[in-house]
Amino acid sequence: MDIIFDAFRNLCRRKFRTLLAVSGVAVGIFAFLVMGAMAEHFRRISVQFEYLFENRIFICERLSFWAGGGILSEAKLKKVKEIPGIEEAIPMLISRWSDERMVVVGLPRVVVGLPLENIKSIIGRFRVISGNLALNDKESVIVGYDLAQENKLSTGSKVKIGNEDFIVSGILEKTGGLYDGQMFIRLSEAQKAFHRKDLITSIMLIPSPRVDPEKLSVEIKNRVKGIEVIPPSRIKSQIRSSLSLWNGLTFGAAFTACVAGALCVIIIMLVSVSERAVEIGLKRAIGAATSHIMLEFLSEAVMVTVSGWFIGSIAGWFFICILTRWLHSMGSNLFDLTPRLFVTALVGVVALGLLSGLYPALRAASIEPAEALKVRY
Amino acid sequence: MLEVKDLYKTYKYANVKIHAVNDVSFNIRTGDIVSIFGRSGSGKTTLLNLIGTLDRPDSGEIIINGKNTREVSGSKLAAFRRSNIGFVFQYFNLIPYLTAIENVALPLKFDGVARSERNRRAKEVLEEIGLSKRLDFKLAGLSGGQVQRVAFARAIIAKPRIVLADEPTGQLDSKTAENLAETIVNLNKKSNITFIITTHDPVISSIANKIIYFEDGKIQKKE
Ligand SMILES: Nc1ncnc2c1ncn2[C@@H]1O[C@H](COP(=O)(O)OP(=O)(O)O)[C@@H](O)[C@H]1O
Ligand SMILES: [Mg+2]
Repeated sequence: MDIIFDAFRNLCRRKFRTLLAVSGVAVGIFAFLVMGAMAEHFRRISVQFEYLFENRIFICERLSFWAGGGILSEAKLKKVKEIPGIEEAIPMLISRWSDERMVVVGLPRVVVGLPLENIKSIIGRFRVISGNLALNDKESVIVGYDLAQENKLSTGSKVKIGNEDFIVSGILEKTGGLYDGQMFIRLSEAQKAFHRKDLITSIMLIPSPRVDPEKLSVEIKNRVKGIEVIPPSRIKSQIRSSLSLWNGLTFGAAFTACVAGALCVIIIMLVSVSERAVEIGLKRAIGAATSHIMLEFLSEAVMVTVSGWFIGSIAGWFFICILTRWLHSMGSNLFDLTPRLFVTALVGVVALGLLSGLYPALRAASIEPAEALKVRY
Repeated sequence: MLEVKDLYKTYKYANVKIHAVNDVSFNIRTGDIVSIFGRSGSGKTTLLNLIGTLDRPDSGEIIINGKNTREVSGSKLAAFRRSNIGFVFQYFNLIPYLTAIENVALPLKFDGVARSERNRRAKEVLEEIGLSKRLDFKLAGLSGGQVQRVAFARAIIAKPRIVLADEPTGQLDSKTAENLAETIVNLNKKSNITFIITTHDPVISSIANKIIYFEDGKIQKKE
């Protein structure tokens, strides 16, 4: 208790200087939290992606597996279906829901047209929070959680897709990923709504049990020309590489924050040590052990970094909340401010305080009392 | 109680050797007030620092209460000082941003005594030397004589065997110096702590039962 009290008092004696150092650390924590929250968001989406596309083969005309690619013909679908080892081949029409709103960040809001019999395979793993998953009527639409929230939709609400009106028949639970921004209608209705009869943008293949999806992909590629076959391994590696980019950015932010924070702490602590040299000499003379002196300075350093963590966390939390609100109003999201980001930052900041306080503390502990006390005032 | 044998300390400054303490030997009994009397530059501070283990002699022995200070190594030094030696320094004694009571309680803090207990004892000592109305004053609010009395209170609080005081009246007028001398005598009587006081002030010598005259690092005579 004494240590904390003393550190607090010493820092309060030099308010402005302390404030500057604390701000330095706080800025670093702020940057870390913002980058970290984005990385967390993409990590969560990626986890869901991997889960949804586990053991799935994706086919499209060009390389683009979620916002739709070129035009696949029914003829090509038929050819693919002839290849042995395929349990299910699901043709889909994936299109942006609305052209009016340009979604700049996050996942696009899209309409997915599905054959009635394949609905279970695509969204059957999730539950509805209201309505059902059946698409009983031609104009039925199942809406993802975020989309429903943004547009204040409930079962029975009217939704305009293309030129047609649809009625919400089910709302999906929050999946934490891709489906939250999607809505699902019958394939034939989607083709009608977008005035593109027979249009398919992609095909999702579910291999038969005990069929190697990688080998199957090669087989399809060899047999059917003019299509892009994306095996599970490529989906996975794409997810992984975009995720590692985010992790890299977060790590970079954390590293920069550490360096900046450490410099701030080292500088003010060194100034304190030379300012208090005589006082330290006196304390040594009247019986302070090396550990007393070192603890005094280490605790001050840690208090600076932990204060920086506290202020940076509040600022970061506030900033991300505001930004998330704004993004939500535009129908997207970019941040997941998870508790472990704060915990990681706190652990990091304590370690940072100890490390950067170490050199100044050693300097303080090595002060010779006899020499220091020769100074006259 | 305190034995000093064949003590030497030489400083080298700009290639000139200064024999600050040059072959010094003496004995002191428990409870004595000893005055080390000498001019400025005669080596008094150096001698006190050697006795107080703030500095190491080039050669010679210092034995405090049967313990040769040479054998007290780095990490044990702090604890040794806490239990054996109290200091009053020539220039800097009180940490300016701490109150009188906190300054006095510092040695107990390093001993790990709880806050309430050390404040109680510090208060007791300060009352004893007539500063009960200045407990929460900081350095800026204390007169020169009061500062020195607070310094003595701090020096004795942990009940050391010896208090080493370096020209405690150096900055004081003669009346205040007399008051301080009286305080020292009282503390000495009550606690039986040995006081070694360097000075060039006859007031201090007058309360001493032993006077060591010091010049150019050597003892001229003992009384
Ligand atoms: N750290 C040092 N380096 C060089 N010379 C020193 C040092 N400390 C003291 N001296 C010299 O030693 C002599 C004794 O000094 P000191 O013990 O301070 O005397 P006093 O306390 O009696 O005034 C002086 O001549 C001084 O210049
Ligand atoms: Mg001196």
